[in-house]
Amino acid sequence: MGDHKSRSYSYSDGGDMQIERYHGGIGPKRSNFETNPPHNFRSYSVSYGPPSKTNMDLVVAGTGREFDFKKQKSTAKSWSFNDHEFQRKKRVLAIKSTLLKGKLKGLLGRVSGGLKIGTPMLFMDGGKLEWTGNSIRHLLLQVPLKMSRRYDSRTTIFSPEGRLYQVEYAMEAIGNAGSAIGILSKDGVVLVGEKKVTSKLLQTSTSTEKMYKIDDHIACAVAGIMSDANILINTARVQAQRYTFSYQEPMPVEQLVQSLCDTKQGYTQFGGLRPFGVSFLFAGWDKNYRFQLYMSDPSGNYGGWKAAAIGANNQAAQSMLKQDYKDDISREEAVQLALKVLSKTMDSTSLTSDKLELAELFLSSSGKVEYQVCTPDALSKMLVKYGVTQPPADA
Amino acid sequence: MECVFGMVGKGFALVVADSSAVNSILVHKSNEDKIMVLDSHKLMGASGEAGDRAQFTEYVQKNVALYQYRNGIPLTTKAAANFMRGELATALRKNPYMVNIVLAGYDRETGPSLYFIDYIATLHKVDKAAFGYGSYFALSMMDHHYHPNMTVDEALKLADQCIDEIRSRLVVAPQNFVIKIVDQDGAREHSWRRTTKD
Repeated sequence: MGDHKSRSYSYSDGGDMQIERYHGGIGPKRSNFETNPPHNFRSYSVSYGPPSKTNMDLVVAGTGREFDFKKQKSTAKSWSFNDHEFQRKKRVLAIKSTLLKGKLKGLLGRVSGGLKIGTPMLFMDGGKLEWTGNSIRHLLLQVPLKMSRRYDSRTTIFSPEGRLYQVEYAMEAIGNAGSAIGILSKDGVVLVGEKKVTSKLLQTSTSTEKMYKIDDHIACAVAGIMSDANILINTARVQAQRYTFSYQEPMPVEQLVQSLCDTKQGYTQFGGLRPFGVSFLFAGWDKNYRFQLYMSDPSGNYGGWKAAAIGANNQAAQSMLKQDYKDDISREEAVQLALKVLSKTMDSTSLTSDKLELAELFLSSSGKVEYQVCTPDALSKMLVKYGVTQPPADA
Repeated sequence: MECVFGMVGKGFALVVADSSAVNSILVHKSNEDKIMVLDSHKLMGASGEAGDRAQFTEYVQKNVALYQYRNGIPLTTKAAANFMRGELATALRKNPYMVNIVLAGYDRETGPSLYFIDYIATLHKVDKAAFGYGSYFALSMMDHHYHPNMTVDEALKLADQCIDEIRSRLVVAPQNFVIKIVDQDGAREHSWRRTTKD
């Protein structure tokens, strides 16, 4: 049926949180969706009313309930649940939907993995959250599916071939996002990101789109759904601070990455929520292993890398990095390499500083870890210097 | 009348504890080891409520071990001390652990260190520390004779002086004492000072 016990969200497991439990709903387990489905499923960061017990602003994605598409109201209401209504509808639907099973099989054949109709926030093959209640309504004569179909594509279920489709679709989603490259050098780590959103109308602020500081000694670059990334970055920051609160020492980089990946893994195993559509490149320094670069993906896997690329064209970027990376590369050379690789793999024809973000993590002369985001002017100069952009026409 | 004290020397740290297990007027045993070896390079001398002492020290020891298994690197002495203090602080306003701890450790980068951790989650990094009624005598002796960078022999001599003072001046003095030491080679039991056979 898809019931899941509501689990209270608490940070009270001794600070050794490996898996964070999240709140799927408080008390009543029925959604309002069957009476009032939101029409536009395209929003990437809809929060369906805050679960009051959570400490974090988690996005509660759809819980995979059956929906009744008969009503036309489109209100993304907060989740007030109605037991009796739902039960009645369920009985009606159970009868009707058996008749449609055959039709649906053909319909869903197009969508690999057989995604269940009406579940919001699931990834379609190709990585775009594109279906709306409307389109499905037309196709299905306004009767939702019987429940057996849905098991094919829940995140918590293996496919018959032993794959987790939702996780793979999540990685597809990232493949459409702006790329990011990280390179480990002997005196620092370099992170370069491609900004997808470049409009004259965009209010420029000091905040960055791709690079985020997690702690004084750890930073990350992001590729994927930004709203998902915000949640995870917040989680990472809390974990880093909690560690420092407990031990009065900076959190070792690998432990932070591991802890965050354990969180991500939770979303692929239980709860019925979709995975996060973000990949990270973590750059950090600690006294055990000095400079480190880690890449993590929606499945919760992570690895330590000398050079890595995520986001669009990451395969091409990765192979280019493999060719040109040398083990004792210096930070300046790493910047040059990163910019060069990014310029080759980026879709846009000209590379200007407003399409890029560059951040470096290094040790200052006093031995403190420094995280520095390059200013647009300095970045422009660098692009010209390394010959990866067209100089201005009048130069 | 439990007594635990410790001091830092040149490249090592020493912890001395009495070994009496007492319940009102009855002495259960005189060879109770109150200095737990936390990991390869840490010692934790604890005094206080017997049940809390065992519970808390074992809890800390297992958590320190878990950290090492999970992360492949041991906790530093400072991290372990702060972790313990955090646990005591969390429990303080609900169900306090009545344990006083002297934590001694050796880290490769920072050398030997000693931490004084109170039952109400006080944490101090110190060169010499003592708990219990014996602390009145031990601290006074150490204040007089301690100097930085003592050798092991000098430190042992000072420890013996403290023990003698406690034995002679404390009305219900503990009979036996155990001395443990931690240096770059690890944490280990050094010797006993007995007046009674077990």
